[in-house]
Amino acid sequence: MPANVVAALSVDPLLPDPFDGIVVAVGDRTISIRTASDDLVTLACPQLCDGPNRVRLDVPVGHSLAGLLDVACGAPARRHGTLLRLGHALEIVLEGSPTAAARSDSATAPWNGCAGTQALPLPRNAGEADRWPEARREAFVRALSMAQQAAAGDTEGFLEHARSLVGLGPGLTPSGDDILVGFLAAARAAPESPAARVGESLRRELPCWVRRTGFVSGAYLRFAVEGRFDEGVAAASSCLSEGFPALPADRDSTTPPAGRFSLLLNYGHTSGEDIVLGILLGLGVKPERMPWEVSTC
Amino acid sequence: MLTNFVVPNSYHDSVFLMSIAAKVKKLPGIREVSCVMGTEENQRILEIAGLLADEGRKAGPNDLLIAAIADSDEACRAAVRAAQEGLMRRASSSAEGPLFSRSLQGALERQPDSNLALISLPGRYAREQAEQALRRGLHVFLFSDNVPVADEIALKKLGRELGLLVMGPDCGTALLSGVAVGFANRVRRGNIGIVAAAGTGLQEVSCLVHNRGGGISHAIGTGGRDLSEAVGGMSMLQGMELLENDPTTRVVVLISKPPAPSIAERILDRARAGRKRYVVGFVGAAGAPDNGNVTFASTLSEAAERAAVLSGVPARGQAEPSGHALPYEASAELTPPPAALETSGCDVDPAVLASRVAPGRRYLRGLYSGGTLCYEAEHLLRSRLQGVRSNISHDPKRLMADPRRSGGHVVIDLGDDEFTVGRPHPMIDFTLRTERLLQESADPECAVILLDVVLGYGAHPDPAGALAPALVEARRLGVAVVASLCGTDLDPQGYAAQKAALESFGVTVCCANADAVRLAAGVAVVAARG
Repeated sequence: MPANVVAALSVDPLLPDPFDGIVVAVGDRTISIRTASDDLVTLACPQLCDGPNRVRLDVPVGHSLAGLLDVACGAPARRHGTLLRLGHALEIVLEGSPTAAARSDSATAPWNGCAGTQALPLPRNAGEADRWPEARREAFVRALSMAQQAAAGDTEGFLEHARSLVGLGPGLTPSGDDILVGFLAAARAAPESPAARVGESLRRELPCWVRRTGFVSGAYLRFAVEGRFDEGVAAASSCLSEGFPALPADRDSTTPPAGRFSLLLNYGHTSGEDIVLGILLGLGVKPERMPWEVSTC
Repeated sequence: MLTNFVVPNSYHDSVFLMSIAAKVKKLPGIREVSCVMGTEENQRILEIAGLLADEGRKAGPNDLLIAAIADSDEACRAAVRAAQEGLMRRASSSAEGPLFSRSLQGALERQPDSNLALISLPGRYAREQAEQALRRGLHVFLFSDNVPVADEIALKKLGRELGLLVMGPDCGTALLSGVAVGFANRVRRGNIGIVAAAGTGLQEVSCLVHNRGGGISHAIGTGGRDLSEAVGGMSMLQGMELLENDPTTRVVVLISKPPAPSIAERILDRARAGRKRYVVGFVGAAGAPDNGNVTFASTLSEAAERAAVLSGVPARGQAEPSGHALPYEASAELTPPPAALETSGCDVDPAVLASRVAPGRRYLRGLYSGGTLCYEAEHLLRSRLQGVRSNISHDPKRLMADPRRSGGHVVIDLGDDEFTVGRPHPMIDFTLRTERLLQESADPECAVILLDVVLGYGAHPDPAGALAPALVEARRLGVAVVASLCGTDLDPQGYAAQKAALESFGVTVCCANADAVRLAAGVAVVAARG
């Protein structure tokens, strides 16, 4: 009977080594590990791109990780060198194998494809957000206020709204948290943006607030404070901020913003959209001027 | 009515939580549902929406908070139940059935009255899980192979201390209170207990007992190494003890390949001290005269026959049983054994079969899926044919130089490790055996092919159909095929249907391996004479 050994397609160089931890969430696309030092390590399916403390696994594309790997919440996890052991029957080899390298560059990676354009279904005002669930609608409204305070240079007001977003909304990473991640990505990508003007204050305060949200989402906020973003977030913020302070694109433009958005927009149910919303707000784009669609080439 | 339900430390994506909320909302009497993490901000939103109750206020940011407003208490309870079921289904997203769990702890939470753990992990991980199972009061059926012998000894010692049985490692079959575990046949329940360090040996004996009209109380596998000097027969001794104390069991059959001599003596001493009748079938071991309550059998079919008669089945040719007790439970399924099972194939004249063999063909080739049956064949053939070789012979001089190429008389266990690395066992997948059947048929020196066909749970759903193309080719080339069919009329494949199908492809079918071996050997002898 062969041991259940899985190779890594890619490994974040900053992944802690060594560490002990436990599995806290097993989903279709990711497995989340909480380390003893309260760090988040994510095992991801090949479709996701690289990210902070993330290991992409060399497993068949299109399958649920929960279905492929016999790992349960509460299972112990231990990394030592190139070996990451989960539970009692799964070993992940954290060094590139020829197979892994080939697969990493193959067309199975979704960001290598060009799917044309994709709608950006963001509300253009609070009224349009009424179709959203209550908590997400509220996050949208508060995010608009936060962006206004940032644009006005009112750091105190900005921080007050930013704090109220932490942990607000449904899911593993609530909408409010996703918006803040996008906002910080914009601050990093466009040093002259409204987000950048208040970014330092946000980076200073945010670590004090992460306990107001769940562990997984809190970890992503901490990574964002450290300037560590998911590759999809980094690519989207870089693309949207290109040419700033001129707006990258708006609803009247005939050319939608081009970038590798398809992956980001498909994050979770709403996370991708909320991060893009955070980026656009951070760049100072008003809701009514936000693009209707983005190029995914 | 408002209800809040908190699941601590539960992380789920919003797609999943929304799908749960949508399903719950469709239930009758449900007005509003929300599934969110219990963060302060989310609680505030729920409060505004009138969805937050005291229970929900206790939730933390890492807890899942399910809130529902319904028309009645009953509807509230139904909502919580449906949400919980949805969360549990996520835990078993890849598996079928409501009782799938990803950990021993989870499995026990869902089925707390379990008393047996079946463990099939890679060998090096098996010990830890088996230990956990034992410490939680579970008997262990350890299917894993490649478990270090030191781990096996440690597990069996622990099991013995805790009064729990460790079946295995490398244990493939058991019948416990009528429940088949692993590869096993569906047999009538009765008063014959089996303890076996030989998987297909256990299957063969239980089937033959059933086919003679008897029944099995419990059949316990021990793993093939149990009777080695190192392991000391710990599981077999424990199994004997359990059957001694089982009021249903009247006769105990012990099955193994030849044990270490000191261990065999220990086993026999325990049997002689027992209150039950024992039939000892150590295949290939030197026979011994009956001694008090202990009877010896030289083949598996002889062990089954002796056990059946001791249990109350009438001896062949007699109408009445020698004992008074029924050999089976009166309430159990009592399908009468078809008469054909008792004599099928065994009374065929080898000369008649040999007359169909093409000129120049003279050797026997045994292609087995069951290790014990293969070992029994090799042992029986030694006294009938010159120079028989095998890939699993205990005698180094009789080992095949290259198991992938046959020469002279050979019997091959195709379930041995060298053939099964990276592919399914030949009892499940007939590809390897079909290829080898064609290979042997094409050898101009092959006169007769000897097969075992094992039915039952876990085995191929249609062995005869899988073998058909190769059997037709063998017949076309003038090769006789003799098969032993290990199974019962209750097996999912159907004994009669498989037998008829095999016969339609020119196979002579025997109900016992020993009979098939003798017949095939006879064919080879006659064919060699020309």
